[in-house]
Amino acid sequence: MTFRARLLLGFGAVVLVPLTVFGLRIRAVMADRLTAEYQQRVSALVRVIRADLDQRSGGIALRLAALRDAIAQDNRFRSAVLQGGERTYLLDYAGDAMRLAGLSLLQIQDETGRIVSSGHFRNEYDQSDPALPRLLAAAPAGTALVEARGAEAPFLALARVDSLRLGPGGRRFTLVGGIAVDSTFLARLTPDSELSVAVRLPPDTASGTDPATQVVNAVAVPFVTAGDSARLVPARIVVSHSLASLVALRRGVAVSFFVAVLVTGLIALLLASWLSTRISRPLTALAAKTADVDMDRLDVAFDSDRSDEIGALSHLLAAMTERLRAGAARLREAERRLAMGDLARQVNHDIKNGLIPIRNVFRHLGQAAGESPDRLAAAFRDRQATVESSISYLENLASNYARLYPQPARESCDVNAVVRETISRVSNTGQAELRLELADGLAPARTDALVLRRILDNLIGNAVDSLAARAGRITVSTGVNREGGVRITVADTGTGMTKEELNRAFDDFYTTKPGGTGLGLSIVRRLVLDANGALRVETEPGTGSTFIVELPGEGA
Amino acid sequence: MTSGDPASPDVLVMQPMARTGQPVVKVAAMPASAARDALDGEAGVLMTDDPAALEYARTLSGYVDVPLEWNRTYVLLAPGRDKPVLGDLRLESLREAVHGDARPAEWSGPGRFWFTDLQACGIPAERDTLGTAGRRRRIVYNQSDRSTADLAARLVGLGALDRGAVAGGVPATAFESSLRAGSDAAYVVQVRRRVYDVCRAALELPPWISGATIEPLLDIRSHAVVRRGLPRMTLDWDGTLRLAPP
Repeated sequence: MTFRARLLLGFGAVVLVPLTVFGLRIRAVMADRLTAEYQQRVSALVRVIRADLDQRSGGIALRLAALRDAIAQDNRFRSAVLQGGERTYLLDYAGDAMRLAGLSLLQIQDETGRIVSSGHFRNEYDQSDPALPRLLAAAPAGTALVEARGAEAPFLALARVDSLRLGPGGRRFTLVGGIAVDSTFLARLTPDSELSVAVRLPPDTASGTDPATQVVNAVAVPFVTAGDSARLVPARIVVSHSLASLVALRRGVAVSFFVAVLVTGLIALLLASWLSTRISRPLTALAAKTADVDMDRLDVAFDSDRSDEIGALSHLLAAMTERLRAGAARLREAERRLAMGDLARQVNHDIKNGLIPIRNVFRHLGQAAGESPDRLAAAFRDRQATVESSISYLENLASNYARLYPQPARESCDVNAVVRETISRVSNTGQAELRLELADGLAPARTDALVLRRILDNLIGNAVDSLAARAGRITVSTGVNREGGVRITVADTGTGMTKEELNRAFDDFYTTKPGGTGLGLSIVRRLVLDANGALRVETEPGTGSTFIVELPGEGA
Repeated sequence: MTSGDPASPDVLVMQPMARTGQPVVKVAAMPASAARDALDGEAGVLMTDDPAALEYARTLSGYVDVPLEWNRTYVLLAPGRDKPVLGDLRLESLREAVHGDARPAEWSGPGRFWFTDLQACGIPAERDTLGTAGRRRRIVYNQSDRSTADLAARLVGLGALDRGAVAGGVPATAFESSLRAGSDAAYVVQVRRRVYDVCRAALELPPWISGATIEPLLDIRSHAVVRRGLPRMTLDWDGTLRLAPP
C-alpha cells in the first residue's frame, strides 16, 4: 500500500470514526430520552383515564339514584309493573328516562331478571338477563364494561347498577345504566394525535400493540361478557403512544448525519489528498531520480532548497551520487589502466607473434646468404608467403588496434538510413533470417554515422556468430526511448549467454568464438559510451540475446 | 292525514263548481307530530296512527275516534325456505313492539293470506342460488316506516335468525333495491291486507317471493278522528274512507 493510500485511510479513519460514534451515540440518547418522555405521557394519561372513569362512574351512580327516586314517585310506572296497566308507558319508560338522564344504556329488570323496560333497546322487553346486574354489583367499585345489545348493533358501555323496591311485597327492581364507550368517548380521552386509546376486550387483551412502534400502558377494567355464560373478566383500556415521530426524527437525524459524514468525509479526503500529495510528491520525485541513477548515468541532480527531512534526504542522495560518480570515475580509470596493461601485454604478445615468423624467415635467409648465396632467391621465394602472412597479420592487428580509439563526430545522424546501409553490406548470414523493424518518422540521433555503423557491424556480426550456422532469426529494430532519444535493438535467437559469460562479455579480448579477437563488444561498449549513449543486454542461455543501444537525440 | 315523513306539507285543495253550495275540501299531509295541532286547528277529519294524537283526540269532546279497517299487514320475508326464521318465538308480544293500533296478523276470510299462495299467478319458484351463508344476518326494514323498525328490533330482541343478528334500517330507495336483490337474511315489509287482483299486487313483491319464507306478523290500522257534525262518511271494502254526498 502506498504512503498516500495509507495517509488517506488514516485521515478518513481519524475523521469518520469519531463522527460515526458521536452520531450513533446522539441517536441512541435521543431515542432513550424521547421514549422515556412518551412513557411519562402515557403513564400520565393512564392516571387521567383512571380518574375519568371514577368520575364518570360516580356520575352514572348519581343519575341512577335520581332515576330510582323518580321511578319510586311515578304512579303510572308503579301501576304498570305491579298491576299490569299501561303496558306501552312501561315499555317506553326506560327510553324516555335514559334520554332525560343523559345515559346511553338503561335497563329496568324485575326481581327475576326479566327486562321490563329497556331504553337503549326498547324491544328487548320480556327477555331475561339476571346475570348482568349481579355481575355489575360484584365488579370492583361497582362499575364494569358491558357489551349491551342493540337493535342495530351491540355497543360497549360503562355501566353501574342500582335498585329500588316497589309495592307492598317490596318487589325489587334493578336499574342498569351506563354511558357508551364508543369512538367519541375514547376520542375525548385522547389529548393529541400521537396518543391513542383503545379498548381491548377478552380474549385479545394483549394483541394489537407492537412495542417496537408504540409505547403502551393500560388501565384494567372489569368486563361483563355477553351471552348465556356471562361472567366478569378483565378488559383493558390501552393507551399507546406512536413512535412514528421518533422514527421520523431518527430517520431525519440519520439523513442529516449521513450528509454530515459524507461532506466531512469528502472534505477530509480532499484535505488528506492535498496533504499526501504535498508530502509524497517530493518523495516520488526523489524516487524517480534515484531510479535513474546508474553506473553509466551518475549525472542525476538531487538539488533541493528544502530544510526539512526531504531536503536532508535529497542532500544525502546528492552526496551519495557524488560519491558514486567519483567512485565510478576511479573505477573507469582503474579499468582503463587495467585495459591498457592488458592491451600492452596483448600488443606485445601479438607483435611478437607476428615478428617471430619474420625473424625466423630472416634468420633462414641470413643463413642461406651465408651458406649458399645462390639459393637465397629460392629460399626467399619459399619463405615469402610466411613474411607476407606475418605482415598481413600485423597490418590487420594494427588496423584492429586503431579501431579501439576512433574520433567520433557529434552530428545529426539518420539512424534508420545507417541501419539499412549496414544491413545491405551484410552478405553472409548463413541460415539466419535478417529482419528489420524500423520506426517510422524516427528523429535523428546525435552521433557519428561511422561509429554507429561500427556498432551495428559488431552487434550483427556477433548475432550471426551466435547462431553458429544454425537456422535462426536476427531482428534489428529502431524506436524512441523514454528520454526522447533513439533506441536500437539487435536481437537474435542464438545460443545466448550464461551469467558468467555476460559478466565478461564486454571485457577486452574476451571471446568464446574460435578465432575471435575478443574486442568486438568491448569496442561497441566504448563507442556507445563515447557517444553519450547506453548499452544493455538481455540474454538467456539457449534462447538468444538482445543488445539495446540507446543514443541521445538531436536535442540532447 | 298524518304521515311519517315530516317533509310532506303537500296540500290538495278541492274547489267545488260555482253556485253548487258545496264546501271547499283541503286534503293535507303533515308529520305525525303536527297531528294535535291539526285537531286544535279544527280539522274536519284526521287520519293517523299516532297514539299520542289519538289519546289527545279522546280528550276533545268535539271529535270522535273511529278505528278504520285493518288494511295493512306487516310480514317477515326471508329468501329461501331451508332454515326456519322465527322458529318457536312467541310472536304475541309483537303487538307491543309497535306504537300504532295493531293486532296479530290474522286472516278473517276463506283460505290463506293472498301473498302466501301465488302459484296461480304463474310466478315460478326461483331456486335460491345465494344460500343462507351468502346473506348478511340482518333483518332489514324501511327507515321511513317506524312500525317496521319496531318489528325488526323486536324480532332481534326475541332472537330471530339466531342470537347475533341485527336490525338494519335503510332509506326507502335502497330498501327497494335490497329487497329485490334478496341479499339480506330477512325483511320486514308492509303489504296491503286485501287486494282486488292478487297477481297484479304480486308484482309489487320481490321476484324471489315464490321461494321465500313468509311470516305474517301484525295487522295495522289507522284511525279517523272525525269532527262531530260533519256529513256522513263510508268505508270501502279495502278501508278507504269516502265522504258520502249529503
